Amino acid sequence: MMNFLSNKKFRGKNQVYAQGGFTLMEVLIALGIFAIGILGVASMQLSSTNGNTKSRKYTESSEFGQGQIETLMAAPFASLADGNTVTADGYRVTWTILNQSDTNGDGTDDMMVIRVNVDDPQGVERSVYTFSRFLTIGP
Amino acid sequence: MKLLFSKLDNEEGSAIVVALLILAVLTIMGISSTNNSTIELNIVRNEQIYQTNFYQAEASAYEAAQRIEQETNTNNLIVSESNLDWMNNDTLDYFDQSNWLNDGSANDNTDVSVIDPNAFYSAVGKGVRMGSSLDIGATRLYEYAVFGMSQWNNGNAVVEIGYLRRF
Repeated sequence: MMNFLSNKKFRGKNQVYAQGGFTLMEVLIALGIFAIGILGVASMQLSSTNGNTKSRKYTESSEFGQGQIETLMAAPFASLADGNTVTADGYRVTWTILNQSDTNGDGTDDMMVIRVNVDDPQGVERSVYTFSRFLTIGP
Repeated sequence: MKLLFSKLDNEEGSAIVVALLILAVLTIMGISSTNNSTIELNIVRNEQIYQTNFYQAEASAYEAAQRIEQETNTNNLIVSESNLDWMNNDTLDYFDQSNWLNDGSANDNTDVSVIDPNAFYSAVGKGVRMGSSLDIGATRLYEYAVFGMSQWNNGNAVVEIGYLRRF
């Protein structure tokens, strides 16, 4: 066994040519360049995280908005009015009646356009949807 | 020859090479995560545009159904006698958006919805529902396919619903 290891032919290169480590200058320059580069990479990661957070907020607000639309579609026509609600996650859902009219002139309003806005917990508007309700037609 | 090998075996300056290699790997990871986030935002935006168009198209289709329901002159609800631009026969494929015409000309076959200037509705009269004309003198059940379309923000959604009216 010893014979095998001491045979020069089978030894690793490092044992044949001594590796003296790095000089201080070398390490300093390498670290400096690495540090500058890592700053760029870090900011890339940061913007990516921000983008993902933003897209999560858009997605969540979009779902809350759609949920509210479905609720308003199922509500009786006469009970519809402006309103708002805050979800457990802090999203504020606001619905506004934009246009209420009597299309056949029989004295009863039979159509309304409703807008649903959703603000994220920081108060930034993330989604807006509009839909219509009709007295005689629809869900 | 010996000189050349001794130069190749010289490992001075390897620290910078290792540092740059690690940096390259991290840069690739950074670029891919930025890409991922950009794609994520595109998905969300497209989803919102589609949903907006879908709700507007649905509202437009209901509006057309309501116009059919409220039309007092029932001649307008029979395709061959109708004066309404948006009442058409069954030859048009409304899922092809090029068939939606609304430029103010005589060829118009749609009407603008109240919900949005980019939303239109149209209806196709399918005639008397099978079996409903057997009783002479009684009212008949007319069958319609009602379409709504919305093209907000380069998106496109078409909604078709069926509607029956007896008159």
